Amino acid sequence: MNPFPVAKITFKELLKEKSFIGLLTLEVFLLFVSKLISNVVAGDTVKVAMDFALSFFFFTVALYSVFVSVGSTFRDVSDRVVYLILSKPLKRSDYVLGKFLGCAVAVAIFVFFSFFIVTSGILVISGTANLYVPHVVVVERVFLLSLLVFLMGVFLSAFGVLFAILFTSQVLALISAIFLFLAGLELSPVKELVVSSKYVSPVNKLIVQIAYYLFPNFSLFDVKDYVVHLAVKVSPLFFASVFIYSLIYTSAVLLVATYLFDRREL
Amino acid sequence: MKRLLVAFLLVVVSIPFMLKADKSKPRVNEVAPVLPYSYSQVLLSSPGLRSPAADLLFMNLCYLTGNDVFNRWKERKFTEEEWKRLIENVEVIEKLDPYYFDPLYYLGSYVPWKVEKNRELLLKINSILLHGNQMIKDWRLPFFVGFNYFYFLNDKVKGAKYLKIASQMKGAPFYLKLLVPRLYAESGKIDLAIAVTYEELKRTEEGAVKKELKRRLKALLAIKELDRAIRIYRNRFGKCPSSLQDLVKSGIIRAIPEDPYGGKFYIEKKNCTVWTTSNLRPVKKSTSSR
Repeated sequence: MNPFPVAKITFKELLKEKSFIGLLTLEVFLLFVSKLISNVVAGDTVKVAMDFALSFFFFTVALYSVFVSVGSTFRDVSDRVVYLILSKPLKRSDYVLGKFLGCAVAVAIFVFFSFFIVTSGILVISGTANLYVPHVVVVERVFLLSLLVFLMGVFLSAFGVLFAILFTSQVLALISAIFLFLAGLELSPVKELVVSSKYVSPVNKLIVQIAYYLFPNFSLFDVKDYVVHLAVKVSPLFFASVFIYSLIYTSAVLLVATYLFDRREL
Repeated sequence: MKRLLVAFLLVVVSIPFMLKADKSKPRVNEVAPVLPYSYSQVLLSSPGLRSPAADLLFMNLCYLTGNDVFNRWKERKFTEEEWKRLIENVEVIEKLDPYYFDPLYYLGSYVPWKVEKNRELLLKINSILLHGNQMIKDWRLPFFVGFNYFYFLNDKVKGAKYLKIASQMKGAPFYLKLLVPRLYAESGKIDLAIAVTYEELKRTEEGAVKKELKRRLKALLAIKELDRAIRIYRNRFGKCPSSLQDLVKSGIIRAIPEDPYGGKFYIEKKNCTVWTTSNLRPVKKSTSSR
């Protein structure tokens, strides 16, 4: 079992793609947008700028992860590269794992650059803001958020690879992955509202609770509040739990992907 | 190249039509109403964007209030119903982002003055502020609650209770420590006022505040002593003394104590209780007679 040659090729190919530099440029642009939006609000402008900048960061990484994983896997099939690769002494599951690992490394590089862009942007905004009570920015917290965002990107990449194998249309795979991500973000709020509501029937509550346990929970990776508000505390146990959760769930998704790819007619 | 030039010309030709259409376009009434937002709707329509949604709601709230303040809608001001919606929208913001201080500051410092006659809305404001205080440990939140109670709702005991909480929080100004016993004393809770002052004296290390608290304690103890003497007088003669001199003449006290603030103690006929012309604040001798 050796998925690394495919991972290496995938990673090199993804770094050359326009989406890499394009989305990083978009992030710089969105930092300016965050600054402009924050100028409109009364009070703590740095808090508002951080809210928007970190949200843009979060969603840009999610979009990048979906685009590269779905796009790269699909391109291999449409350009018939996959035949060439599979003609070598390589298992199909190695190919899937290689694709995933290549995407994961590309996501890591993307998050690494994004972290520098967002952190420097926030520090500049905070340094130039004219506030009565300065808003303190803790870079370590932005770094911890970036680590979680990276895990989320890896998790999403696994789904991207799975959907690229599952669907025969690239657009459908992309839309499915994006909707899965949005639904995963809504999971906790929906459960919170449904369980506390008097108007929802016990059957529907049960369905929502089952969905809550089984569906991928992307809201776990969203700790923007921890970065923006210093009063919010997060225990190391939380980070460890999220890491283990994403590791186990990603492995499960990859198992399904390899199973489907083994049976797919090319 | 020719095609590009023609395309450009076509765009230029379309401009007057666009302007004409823009002028005749149906406009929304300029008076922007205060819309009620539901927490669940905002939450579900903004996945992963709770905080930015809270920021946008607060921006909208500031914009609407600004229009009201600067009379942009010349024909009218906010109605009571709109103030109610506005307060409820702050509650939605707090649910979306429980650590966001600015909307609470706006709610505590500005809105009560606009709804000062509406007891229900004032109590609603207080409950939102207290809920926010569970997350945000800022002295100004219980201070606003206390202020609303004693100033707008005329409940000095509850006012003092929350001002006491505020005075013990980090960053609270020293004068809050003095305000609390005065509110208790003004509402007739002398024993509570003395207890609070003792407590603060033990806690306070700052020299100037300590000195001021000692003066307050001296005045409160004098009031308590005179109140006790009045009770004895009433038991003995079955009526309220007409002045503090009656207490001296009847031999219950030897002399009327001096008010350390420079005022004079007197009997409030209505309740037959003692109070001072200084109101527990330093006064000049010339203005102390009542």
